[in-house]
Amino acid sequence: IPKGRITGLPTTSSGKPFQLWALGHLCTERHLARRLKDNSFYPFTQQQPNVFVLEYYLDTLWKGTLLFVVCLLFVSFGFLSQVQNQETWGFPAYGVGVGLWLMISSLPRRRLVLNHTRGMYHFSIEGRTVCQGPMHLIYLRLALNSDAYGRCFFQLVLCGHKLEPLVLVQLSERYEQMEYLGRHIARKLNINYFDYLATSYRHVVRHWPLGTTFNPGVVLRKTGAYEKQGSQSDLDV
Amino acid sequence: MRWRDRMAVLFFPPGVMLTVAAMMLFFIHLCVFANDVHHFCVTHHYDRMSFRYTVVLMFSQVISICWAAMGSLYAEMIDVKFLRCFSLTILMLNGAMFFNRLSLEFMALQYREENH
Repeated sequence: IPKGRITGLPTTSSGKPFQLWALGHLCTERHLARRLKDNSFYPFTQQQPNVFVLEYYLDTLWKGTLLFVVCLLFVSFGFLSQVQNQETWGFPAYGVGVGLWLMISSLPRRRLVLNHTRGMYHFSIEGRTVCQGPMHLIYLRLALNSDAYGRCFFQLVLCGHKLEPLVLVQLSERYEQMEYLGRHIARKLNINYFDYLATSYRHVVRHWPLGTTFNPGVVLRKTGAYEKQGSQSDLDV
Repeated sequence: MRWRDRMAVLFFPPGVMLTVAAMMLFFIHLCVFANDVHHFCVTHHYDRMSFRYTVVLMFSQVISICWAAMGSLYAEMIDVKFLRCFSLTILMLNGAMFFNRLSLEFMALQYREENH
């Protein structure tokens, strides 16, 4: 776990587009902490001060390619093409179709820009704008999964309006470390952070929708995040 | 809006594509079903019915019902009334197709049963 104040050098080059492809058992909070030590704005890279850029390919690209290749081999070599007088070559044909679809749909490169100087985020696929909106619509949240024995697993997910959810940490049991990392990333990127419960004292809301000054049930933590850029006190519970 | 923008929006997968895929599968199943009914009732060429593909057909019908259900779940989250109606219609059509197919198969089984 890194220390709270990392002052990474601002990098100008765009990051590796495949960095979110880590497999489930490798994608732990330790992995995330190591990445954060290298680049304190992980998964984004800082292009200018207050402008963060993330370019990525979806991980369904390699999954779809794998499915496509395997099913194409099955079809072309005729394994399992007939079982007990039933024509079953339809199953690998399905695989080919679905794999091709997954591959084509995740081939365009995604680009997500958080522009704090304008207070907007901008999501585009292959240069075509999909969505552009105010900063309060994008957030980092902790998602809860529990198994049959009642053990709780937490996921750290970057979500937003009209965005594909980006999983930063798959299923981890350590709530405190995950919360610390989530708050750290949210503070670095200056976006909202939400706990796994709907009502919680541990939300960190930095951006409110325009026109809301009073929300019942939610305690106003901090307004005017842009004015208090220098303050480091967001991690207080 | 040029056609490339349309393609870019199409490649973004928020559930509408699932409904469209379920619709395509529904049309395929409709063609197969019409072919079966035609051979069963009109031409009486029972060997040209699709009995050898039963396993794949069941699989693909279940898949298309699942896709339509996922698509309608996504469409419920979007506040576009047309999309909701469309995806629910596709879901119901897929379900109806599944049960029609099932009843046709049982009818064919009953017809081909040997009674001594």
